[in-house]
Amino acid sequence: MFDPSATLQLIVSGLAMGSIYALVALGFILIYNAVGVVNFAQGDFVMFPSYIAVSFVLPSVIVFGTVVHWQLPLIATYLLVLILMAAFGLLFNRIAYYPLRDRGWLPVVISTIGVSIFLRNLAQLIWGSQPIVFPSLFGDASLSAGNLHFRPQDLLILGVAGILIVFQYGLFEWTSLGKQMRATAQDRATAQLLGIRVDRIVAITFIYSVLLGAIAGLLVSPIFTVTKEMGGLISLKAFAASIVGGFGSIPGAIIGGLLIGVVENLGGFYISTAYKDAIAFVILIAVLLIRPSGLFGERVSEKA
Amino acid sequence: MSVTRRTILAGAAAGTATLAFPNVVLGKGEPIRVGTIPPITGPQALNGEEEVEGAQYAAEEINSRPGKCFDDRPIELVIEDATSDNQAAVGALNKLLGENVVAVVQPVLSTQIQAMAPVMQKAGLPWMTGGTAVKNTQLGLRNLFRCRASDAITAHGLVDFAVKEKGLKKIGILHASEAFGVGGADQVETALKTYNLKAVAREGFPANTKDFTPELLKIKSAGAEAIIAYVQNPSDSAVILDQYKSLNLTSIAFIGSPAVGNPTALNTAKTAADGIYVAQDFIIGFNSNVATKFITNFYRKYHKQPDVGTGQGWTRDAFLLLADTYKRIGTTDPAKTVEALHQTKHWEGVLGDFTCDTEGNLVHNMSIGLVKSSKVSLVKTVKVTV
Amino acid sequence: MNRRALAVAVAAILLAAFPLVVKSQYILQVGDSAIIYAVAVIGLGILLGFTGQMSLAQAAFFGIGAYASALLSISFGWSPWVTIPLAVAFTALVGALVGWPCLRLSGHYLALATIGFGIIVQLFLINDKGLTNGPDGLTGIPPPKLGPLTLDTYQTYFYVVYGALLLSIYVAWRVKHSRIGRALEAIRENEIAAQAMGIDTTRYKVLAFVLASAFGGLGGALIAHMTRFISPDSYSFDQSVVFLVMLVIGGSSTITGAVTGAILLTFLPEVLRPLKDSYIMVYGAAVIVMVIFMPDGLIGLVKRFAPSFEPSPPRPQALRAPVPRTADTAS
Repeated sequence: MFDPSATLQLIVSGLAMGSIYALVALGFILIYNAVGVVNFAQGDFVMFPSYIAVSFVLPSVIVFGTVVHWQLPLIATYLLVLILMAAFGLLFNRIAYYPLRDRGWLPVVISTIGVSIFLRNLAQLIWGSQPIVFPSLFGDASLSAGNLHFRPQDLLILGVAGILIVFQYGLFEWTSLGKQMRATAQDRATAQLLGIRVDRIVAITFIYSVLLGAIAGLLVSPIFTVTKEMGGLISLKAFAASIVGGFGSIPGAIIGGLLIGVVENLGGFYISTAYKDAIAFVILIAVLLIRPSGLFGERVSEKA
Repeated sequence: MSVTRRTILAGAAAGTATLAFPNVVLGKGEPIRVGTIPPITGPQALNGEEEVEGAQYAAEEINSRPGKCFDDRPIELVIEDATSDNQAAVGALNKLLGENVVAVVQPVLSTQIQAMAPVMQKAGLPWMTGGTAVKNTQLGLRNLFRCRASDAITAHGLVDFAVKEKGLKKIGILHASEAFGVGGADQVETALKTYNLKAVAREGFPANTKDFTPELLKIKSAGAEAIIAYVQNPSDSAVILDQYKSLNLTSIAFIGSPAVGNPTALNTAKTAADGIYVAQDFIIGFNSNVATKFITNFYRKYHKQPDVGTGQGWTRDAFLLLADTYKRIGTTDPAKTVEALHQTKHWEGVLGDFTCDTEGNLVHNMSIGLVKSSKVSLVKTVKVTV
Repeated sequence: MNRRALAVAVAAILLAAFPLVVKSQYILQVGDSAIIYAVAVIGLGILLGFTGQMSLAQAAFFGIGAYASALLSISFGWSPWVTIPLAVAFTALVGALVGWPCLRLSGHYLALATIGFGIIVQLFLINDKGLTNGPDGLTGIPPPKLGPLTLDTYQTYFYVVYGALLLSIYVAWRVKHSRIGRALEAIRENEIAAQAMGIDTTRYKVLAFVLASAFGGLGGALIAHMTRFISPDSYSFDQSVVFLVMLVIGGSSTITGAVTGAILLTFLPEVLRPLKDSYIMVYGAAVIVMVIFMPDGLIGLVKRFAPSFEPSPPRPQALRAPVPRTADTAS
């Protein structure tokens, strides 16, 4: 029953998918660390920028029922999307979080759910329901090495995920901003006493998290196609990945994401494709029950 | 002549209606209100968008012809969002039924049809549906009509094509794990049985799957010579075709259900779709004059091609057939319209010949097309005679 | 207290006249559904509002109840009056089996474990065709009968669901004002302190989870015999989210809040329908606005403008417990 060449292929594809989970999980963790809330709209922060990007870059796109022909260069589009989403991140922080900041996690969770419903239906209102294709930098070429096949986009995703992880590590370890972000995440009251402008740091964290979602969106839209549902399941699995790795831990999220990507593919092949989506959550529940701190987490008692 | 209780009741109802709303029955030029319940919001919104376009197109076509439906009476659309949820869909239907509609067009989702069936059975209005699951027309509703080919016809057509014409006997099935995909896969297995064959693999995938490597490799390692894919969502088919190509599986023939040939799916898949076969309700440029006229006019109105699988085509046909039936019998009385629809014979629609069988199936043919450069060309048309 | 009891009694009697006054099948159906959702949301309220534990699997329990009652009544021809209680018992049992291991977790961890459970249940309903008939769902679910009368209209079925709602309110009220309720509240306010006081916190949390599941199962069974068709797509993660939003918008710590939240949010999209394409978007925006401007839910808003309605001194706020910001930070 063991099929070595298929297994290798499944692992390679699983790593590509896993790095997407990891990227989205990073966005989750930033907001969670900063304000103790899981952002249920994180998946829509992958979807929305993808739509914005296709409207700028494609030769013709229907926006609000009228055909537009902006057709900007790819680099300009990327920059424009990131600028717009940064502004959106600030808006999100001001509207959906700031008024609720002293009311515990539950109202904020509900408000992010509201944002998610709003964004999905706004996207439908603006761009309709047809899936849209985002052009890949590499056309539709595919690469192979022996029996192993992969898409150039998969490599790009792995590469960018790696760079972002190193970038984030550097940011948190070596810059003053990163240190302020970490201090705020660890203890808000003390951070405030130390003269850190906590609300501002939290806003910056939100913007950064939204930008991570946007980057994930720009990376996956050539292989996923752009639809208003594209972020939904991915974000739930990314959420699971971040917990499997140890919630709040950046290396944990990455390893959790890659692990879920690979095990999901292997389980789908060797056990059942119909239950493939269950695999991520079975791993999650098992990890939560056996080692609630996650594979890389610490301080078990505070979680249980 | 035997007078049944039903005819008396129907007569009484018609009588009251005449008294209460004399204009509705007698008035020349009075609009005929036809209700439609597409899923405008939620995950199935793409279907809804296409069905609204189909309905608006049909209303315009009917209302611009001389005499409109009959007696100069135009069609007036009453649209309610069925969402993508069964409970809300029944709610939308009940709302519609409270708004004096004389017929209901939609839905296309089989689960919604079944959720609505108890309500529609009581309402007794002509009900033009697009769900292809075989059992929809076996619910025992005389007022339910199916305006597309059932999965049985499509699946048999696809299997005949693979086994008889292409000589491919090792078939792997790939299907979406929702009602349409599972029903289609079941029908493919039934069709294979007539050749004493069994599917070598049958892989279901849940909604929103973005990595099909395990499914495709499993079918490959089972030794399949052909993949028959029942996929509903065009974005799923685009992702599947992309991976089918990038995993270098093109030596296995790919034969897809109607949504695989959706223009968006083909434009997305680009060269990945070259050489695959797709089942289609009708094929652009290869069907009857009605279809060609529809495609040209539709393009003029919406600046895009109609979806040849689910969507605009059958919705347009459903409204036109209703309008022509009203014209034929000169009334919009629901009971009479239901009976008249059962008499439909060789009515020509975009989807081909409409002839009603005992279960209320109207369409009995499907086409198989070959994809090249994102275009579908006709390979053969399969007809099932009643 | 008398005033309040009187108000509740008047409201209960007025509501009972709903199907006599309203003739529109559409409004009746939305009303029946709203009441059924209210039953499930009351259950969620016991878990979240009383005990402070979040579950995102309520739709899964709703589905388990629906399938259990439907399958029993279809396969054995049993009356819904028998199968509905059996379905509730079965759902409670599943709740106990799931709750026991999961309630060692809390907060987001519990939420995520329940999301996982919900997704697994839905996949099971879709894929175990032998038992559930797969994504096609189950047809031919019988309506309940009362003597010679078949309760298959929204008018008559209203009294079935209304009876269930009153029963649920009564049970939840008894739980709240009992030793159990006080133990649950102690857990909500401070779990460690509750433990120190000798409360077996795990046992009580599991009990709250079992009650929540049972109410969810009751709601599901009720909807199965109303629509008389069920299919797995109704019991999604999104539906669990809807239940949660209903509860929090209504006011999570009171029973009245759960009921008003469910009714309000079932009718809200229907009221917004005239907005056509944008109505669900407006609904999303309304959720954000409501959660910002109604800190104690709809019920809190009512109390603010009619303070005499609530004679007792203000309760400590539910779920305002400080966020464990010191916890689990790494990197």
